[in-house]
Amino acid sequence: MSKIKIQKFDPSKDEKPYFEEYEFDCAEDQTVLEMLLKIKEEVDPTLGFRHSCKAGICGSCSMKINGRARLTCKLMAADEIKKFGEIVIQPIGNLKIEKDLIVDMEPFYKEMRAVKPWFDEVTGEKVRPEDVKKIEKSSECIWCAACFSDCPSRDASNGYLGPAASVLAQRYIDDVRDNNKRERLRNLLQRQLWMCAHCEKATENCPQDIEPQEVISKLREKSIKEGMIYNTGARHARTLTGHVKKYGEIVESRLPLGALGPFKVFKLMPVLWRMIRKWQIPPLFIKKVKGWKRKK
Amino acid sequence: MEEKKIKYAYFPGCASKQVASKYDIATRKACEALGIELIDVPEFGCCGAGVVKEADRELNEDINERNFKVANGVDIMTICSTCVINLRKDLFRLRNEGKFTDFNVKHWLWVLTEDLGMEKLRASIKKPLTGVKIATYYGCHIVRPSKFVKDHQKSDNPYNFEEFVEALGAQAVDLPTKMDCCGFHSNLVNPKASQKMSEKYLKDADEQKADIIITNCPFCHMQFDIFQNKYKIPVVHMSEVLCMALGLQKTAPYF
Repeated sequence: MSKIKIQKFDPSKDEKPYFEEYEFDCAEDQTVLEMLLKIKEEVDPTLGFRHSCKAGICGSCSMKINGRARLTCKLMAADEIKKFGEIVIQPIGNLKIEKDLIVDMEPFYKEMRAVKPWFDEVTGEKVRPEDVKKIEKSSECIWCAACFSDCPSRDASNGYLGPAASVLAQRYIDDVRDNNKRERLRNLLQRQLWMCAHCEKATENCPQDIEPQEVISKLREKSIKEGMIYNTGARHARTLTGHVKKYGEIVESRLPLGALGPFKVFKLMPVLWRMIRKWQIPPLFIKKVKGWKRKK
Repeated sequence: MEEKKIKYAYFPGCASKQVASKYDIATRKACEALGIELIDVPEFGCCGAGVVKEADRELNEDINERNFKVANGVDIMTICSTCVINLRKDLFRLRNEGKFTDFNVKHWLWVLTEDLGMEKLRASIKKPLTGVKIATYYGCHIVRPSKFVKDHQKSDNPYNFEEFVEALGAQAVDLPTKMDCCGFHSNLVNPKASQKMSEKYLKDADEQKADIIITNCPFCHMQFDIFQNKYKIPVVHMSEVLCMALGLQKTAPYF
């Protein structure tokens, strides 16, 4: 018998979510979703959760399993018990709970719609096989919100679109038929494209292996190539790359000035003071890395 | 038969050479005491930090191939998690092309827990840190994306950092938020949100009454120690606590 903890919440009578524990004998070849269905059938008929295809296609059964958003139909229950000793099931994060494991997906869909996933203007170009390669991976997104759920940047800042919407935007930006690239990129920048903190949670969670972090990196690269460089993120990346080109290494002491500009940098005075007090002062000048040839 | 000496090309990374120089100093001291040979390679450059590729992808690929070349076939040991993931991303790409197949990049924590081994580490502790409650912060890049680190971080519920702390004689505080993001990489773009991200773990550690937090990445350390000022809990590099337990320094300097 293994311990299964499921977060329950009924807004009509509960004040806040609570955990209910079940003892369950899970089979070796059972997925977490199958286990939940069995619990609903045999133990607790009031348990609420979404599911549909049971085959990793519809993306409706994503939940937080042991702290990480996963597609429950693709996750073996026995493996989780082996790793954690128990299974803790919670609804996905960054969204409001409607009942038990069901969340209101509307804010997520709103962000997906915000990148305008349709063609407004077309170039009239024909799509060749090599063009499809660029958008093939990101077209495979199943809107399960496993990346959105665990995104700490979205949690900290509502203005940020989140990984899934960025991936959807890339699918249209890299499509040869689309003639709205610049506007789409500008829209992304307005919605804090540079907020992603490289935590790689999206890449880790994605059941379709899309690697949203890499996609976001490429979008940032594209925005710089399009000349959209007057924002903190782009300035930071360009200053840092400039240092690497010149010295082969980053000059940390000069990064904030390059990224924030001569006025905003004063906001970092308290940080500078703590650096001095704790004696962690980066040198202003560094030597070039041995054998490094300056690159243009 | 004499035991084979552990030997690595030492890649401190930009942060440990500049802001977090005490991490670098403590690591060198500890390695000397533990008999791990570190080869200094002055030709080592930046790893790309996940940012260079956002402005110049080709440059990022070039610098890492160069880093692997100048290591001269000796495996790289780095003390920064961000370096580990960026070097490994490019290493795995090059391995797929058939280059550098018998070459590896490792984190300092993996060298301690796997190459040196817990037995040996435990045996070399002179001043066990009995009674100290240490919160272990993994951060992101030492555990994610798992396809690049799974040969060393085998489970998504890792325990090797806690094992390391227990080997020092201290008590590990295992928190559920230990693999959350510290928010360092967005602290210039959106300082407020970045603070909010780091506060999650700090709050947890504070509530669990941990004495110190240890980090395995100079960036997480910088975020917790310098960029935030709300929580006063001391944040220490893992090499510094190791040095304390080895009897090499009395306290971690400048808490």
